[in-house]
Amino acid sequence: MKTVTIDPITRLEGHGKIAIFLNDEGNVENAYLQVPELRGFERFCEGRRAEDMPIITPRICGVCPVAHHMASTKALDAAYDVAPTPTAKKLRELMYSGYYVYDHTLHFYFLGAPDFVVGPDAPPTERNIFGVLKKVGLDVGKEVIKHRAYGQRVIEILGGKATHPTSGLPGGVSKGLNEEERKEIEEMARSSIEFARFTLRVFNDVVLGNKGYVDLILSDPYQLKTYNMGLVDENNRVNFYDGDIRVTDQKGREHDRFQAKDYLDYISEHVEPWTYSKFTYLKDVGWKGLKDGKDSGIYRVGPLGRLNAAEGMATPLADEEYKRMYKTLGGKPVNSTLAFHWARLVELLYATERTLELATDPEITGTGLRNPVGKPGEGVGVVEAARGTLYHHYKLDSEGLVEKANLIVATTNNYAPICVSIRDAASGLIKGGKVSEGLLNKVEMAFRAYDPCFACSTHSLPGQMPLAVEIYDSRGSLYKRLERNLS
Amino acid sequence: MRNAVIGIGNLLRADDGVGIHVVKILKEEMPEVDAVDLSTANIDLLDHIRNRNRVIIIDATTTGAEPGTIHRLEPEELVESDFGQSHGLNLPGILKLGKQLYPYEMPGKIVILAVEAQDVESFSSDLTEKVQVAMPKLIKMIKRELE
Repeated sequence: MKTVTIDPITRLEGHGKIAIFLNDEGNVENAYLQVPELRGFERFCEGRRAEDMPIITPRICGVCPVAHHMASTKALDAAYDVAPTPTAKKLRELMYSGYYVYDHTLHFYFLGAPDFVVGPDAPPTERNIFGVLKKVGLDVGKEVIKHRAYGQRVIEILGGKATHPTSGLPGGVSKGLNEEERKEIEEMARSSIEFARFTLRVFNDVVLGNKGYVDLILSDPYQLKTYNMGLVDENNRVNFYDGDIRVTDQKGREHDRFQAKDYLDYISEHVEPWTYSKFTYLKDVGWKGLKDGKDSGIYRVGPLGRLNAAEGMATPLADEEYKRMYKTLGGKPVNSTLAFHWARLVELLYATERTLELATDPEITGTGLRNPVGKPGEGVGVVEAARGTLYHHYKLDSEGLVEKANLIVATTNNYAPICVSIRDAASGLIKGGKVSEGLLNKVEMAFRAYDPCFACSTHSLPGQMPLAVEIYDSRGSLYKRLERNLS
Repeated sequence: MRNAVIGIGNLLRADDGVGIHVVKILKEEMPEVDAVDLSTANIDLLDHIRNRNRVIIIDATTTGAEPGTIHRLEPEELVESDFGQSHGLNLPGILKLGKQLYPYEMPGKIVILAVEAQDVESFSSDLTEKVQVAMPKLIKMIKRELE
């Protein structure tokens, strides 16, 4: 058997390796992605003061610290049996909307757009932000930097600190909003809505206006019929901060609907010997290996998972875009992995509209910021991180120290589907042991759509992730090697 | 224009957090400098280097040298990647983007002080002894760069 390995290596750590296994005929049999392990982190949390968790857990990763801060704060609400005040709840959601504006903007222009705006077959040296800027112009680049900074500024105003917010407390928040700050956020939100609409127009013109790209989105190697998961409000609209966890099936029907505290009744974890990370799956359907279909319990989270698991968006402009996306791509659910990019932009528009709604809510400058906490116990907090559903589960002792912590991060939820998507994308490009030129690009496109978080617990200077493809023969010796950016 | 010292690294990964540890100290010792705990060298770096006079970036590295060794680098010495893989740009990429978008706002001098780490794997918020010992020298070097 031959093995193809695509290995993104940071200078400090070698996480995030892709391995593609070929059968004796030289065709793709399976594909695996090793994601960063969080082993040891839970133990690191044990014995710490509960109120430190929202400060510690965002340090796991530099990519989505706000999501960890929020999931952690909500887990403490539950563990101390207290709900945030109405103002505190809105302030948290406002900060969280800022995080989405920041994160989704960054993902589209820096990671998603290079594949589409520059083109999937463009050389890697051009498939980057500079290639995008060449096409859309430097002024658009400045708008990207500006609106991404607006998202950061919202987080800074409400969280006390841009990258690692510190405002979340069980039962509320430590910092309110004054009128001057509220006005600043309102102005940024109005500008951000226009920016999000502009971005959707770019997507419409450049991607949907190109038949080749639409065909690529709808092509077989990028289709995956899994269950979908996401938080919804009482009207089954997408919600990033709160609500029930809804799971829909391959036909778009509701399969499960549950509260965070019951997650262990619905989700199980499967272990494979070749990777540190676990695979999550739906308990009632069961683990059937790395395959899709209604008999396999794997599910997708993140932008497309959320949109599929919901029945619409809670704001008017985003809801229009939601409907347009499903109409264009042939109804619900959409199973095309590359539609994650479109779904992300629908969510960006929602996040900007929601920021404005909350910034103009009469309660948002209220002074009731915290409810008194109860006795320490056990609690589960769930939020939608930009990359998908994120669970924090703590068990506290009577002194309020952490006895046990369990975290399920977005990329773990998406782990099995990512592996299947990589396999399917590779299958079309490796035949009889012959590896096509575009393999790296197409496989990358498959996993980049999910935006898996390689950065979890790692970073590097200068921060590059080189790629290597290694092909081994059946005896395990190196047969061929393709690489770039390896020094 | 003010000077900035920017710490990159993961505070929970032992020596990887050296940049964050030093930023904490500088916040007390050098209030005239913007000491920034940035964690990840992503695009946010651009916000903190624009409209600054001098910028010192502190990070951990593992080149195989003796732990605690401080490497002094200038941006030109770093390798430009294709920018396509990670969640952001690397430092040369960020500087290139900055020069394209804001040619008149980039700092006059950027220096990277990379501290050789012993342990960047363990979940720990403490530095190893060898890196701890190098801290006074690191702070002295930062001050000299900003003189």
